[in-house]
Amino acid sequence: MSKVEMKEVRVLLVEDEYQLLKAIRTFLEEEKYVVVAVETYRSAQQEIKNENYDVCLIDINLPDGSGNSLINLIKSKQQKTGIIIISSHNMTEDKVQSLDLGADDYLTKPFDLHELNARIRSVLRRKLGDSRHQVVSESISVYPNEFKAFVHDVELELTKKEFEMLLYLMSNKNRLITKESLAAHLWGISIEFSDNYDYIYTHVKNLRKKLMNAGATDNIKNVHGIGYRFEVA
Amino acid sequence: MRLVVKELIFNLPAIIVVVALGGGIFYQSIESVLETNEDEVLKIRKQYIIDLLDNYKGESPFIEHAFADIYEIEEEEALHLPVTDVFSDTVINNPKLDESILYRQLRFQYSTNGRNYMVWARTAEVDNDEVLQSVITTIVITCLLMAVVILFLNFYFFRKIWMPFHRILANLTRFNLDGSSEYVSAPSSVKEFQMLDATLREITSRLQSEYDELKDFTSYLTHELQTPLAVVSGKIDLLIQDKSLSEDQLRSLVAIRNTIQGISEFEKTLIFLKRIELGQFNQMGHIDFSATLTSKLEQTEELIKLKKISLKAEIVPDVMLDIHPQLIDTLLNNIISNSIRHNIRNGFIEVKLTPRELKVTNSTREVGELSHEGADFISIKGLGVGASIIKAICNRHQLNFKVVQEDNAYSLVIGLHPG
Repeated sequence: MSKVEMKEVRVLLVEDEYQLLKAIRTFLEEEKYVVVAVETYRSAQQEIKNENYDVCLIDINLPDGSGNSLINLIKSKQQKTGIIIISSHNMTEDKVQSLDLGADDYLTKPFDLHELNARIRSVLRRKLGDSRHQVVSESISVYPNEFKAFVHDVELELTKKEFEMLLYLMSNKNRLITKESLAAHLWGISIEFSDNYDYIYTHVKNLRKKLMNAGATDNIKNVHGIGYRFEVA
Repeated sequence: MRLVVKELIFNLPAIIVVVALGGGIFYQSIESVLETNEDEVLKIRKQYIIDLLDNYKGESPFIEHAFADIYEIEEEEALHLPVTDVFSDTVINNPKLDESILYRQLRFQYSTNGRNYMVWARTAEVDNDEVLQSVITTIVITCLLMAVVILFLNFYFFRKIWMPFHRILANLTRFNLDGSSEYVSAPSSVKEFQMLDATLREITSRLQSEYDELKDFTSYLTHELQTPLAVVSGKIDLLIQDKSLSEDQLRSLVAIRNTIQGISEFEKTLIFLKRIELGQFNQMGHIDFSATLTSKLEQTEELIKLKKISLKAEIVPDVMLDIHPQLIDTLLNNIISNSIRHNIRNGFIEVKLTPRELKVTNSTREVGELSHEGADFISIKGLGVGASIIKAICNRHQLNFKVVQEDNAYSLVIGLHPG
């Protein structure tokens, strides 16, 4: 179990498109987050005033107000709350505006829910104290801030990409991560490069080899050549 | 070139030519007047000498006179000499002054009291060279004075008259469609400038309104398209976690998700292209192109290696380019992406940057599909919107862009000096 999950993580989700809200909420609840989902600016205002949240996921385009205005409200109430903007606008100035206001991250629609999960965990790690930085799964421990990974007490010699891949898979344990999702997360490359994912296979193979050589069980499973799943009991 | 300088370039030579022509005409007329005047003087003197000879009782064949030489001649000689008056110019040395003096002279014959005389009446002549010199001096001084006056008028007086125009121009230059600076009216008492200002006010207002509408529309379009795509994408992310799904079902879901992603990226690219066309990227930066390109290549080096592509880069340092920072980023992303995406296994990418141009060559199997020979921009099947973005950014900054086909390779060449 990852240490960041030991405490109940409260997430406020503000999204006016009900079907998207439902998909995100279902995904996050499966990840054991406590999710409060609202569809309007006014409801979000009330929630922020009345409750404390670890992370707020905010859509910019709300029917009765701008998600950016909610950032100030959150910041004035609780500095430690992580804020992730989910928006259909991908222009630099839109991102800069939200980040300048105090958002911790900005995700453009349509996004991979696993990517959203990884970003939430990253924000949580940054917002929580040092002792909470560790991500642990069975015999493997990952320290994202220190860029270190251990199997039992043996430190692994991983490349930057192998380290990021391990962290991404562990953050989405027991979930099928497609090769496209891994490529987008690790190299920031889009579907345009989807002709050949041999390089991902090579990276995963190397990572598994290093983990097993250090004494870890083979947690990374290949799923029909479509993607990978970090399986834990 | 500034309007005032252009005006001077046109005006000054014309003025010099006119003044020189006037000077020439003036010189001709002065010369003619002086000559006529000298001949009139000689005619008067002739009459005076005739009176003198009519009353002459002396015996000497040579009569001394202050402004004439008078000789008595034989009758037979007189018959052979011409009787008409002859005007001519002559130079006579003056021993007292020790200088040669130019004279106008009149030669005539006169017979009286049974005696025949040959007379050379003279008067000192004005030197033409002196007249010419004087006229030229006058012209040069006049030209200089006129130049000074014109310069003064241009830089002080006309400048004041053109001031509203320059204000209009400055306001128009500052005008920015992104709303950061609207067109500010420049009042003037000159009717033409008032009309220009009013027209520009109307045009910029209309432009701003159309721009805002289009911006709102693209924003709305993006939201309305990307949100449903996000819904489908999210639902698929949930579905693929179902362990009871068969491999075929999983593959279908991944394919749908990839298609969704493709549509999403295509729409974002189209909107980006529209924004470039609308001139939304106006803030230029003085960018170190060499450093930016090096950094981009470093970022993609791993991906290039993973694709089994060899990379060779020759980058001249300190090549600077005036371009919008976001556009240079997008430009390089697209160029490098294109060269990777359309490459072949064990292929190559060659990047060469000089102060004159950027040339990116990559191996490909897609050659031979150029739209038409000699075109500035050649579309190659598969280059798609990435190439459209490169073209749009180059057009936005007036940079030449072309695709050159070689053996199993093509090169993107961008001229770095606005053409």
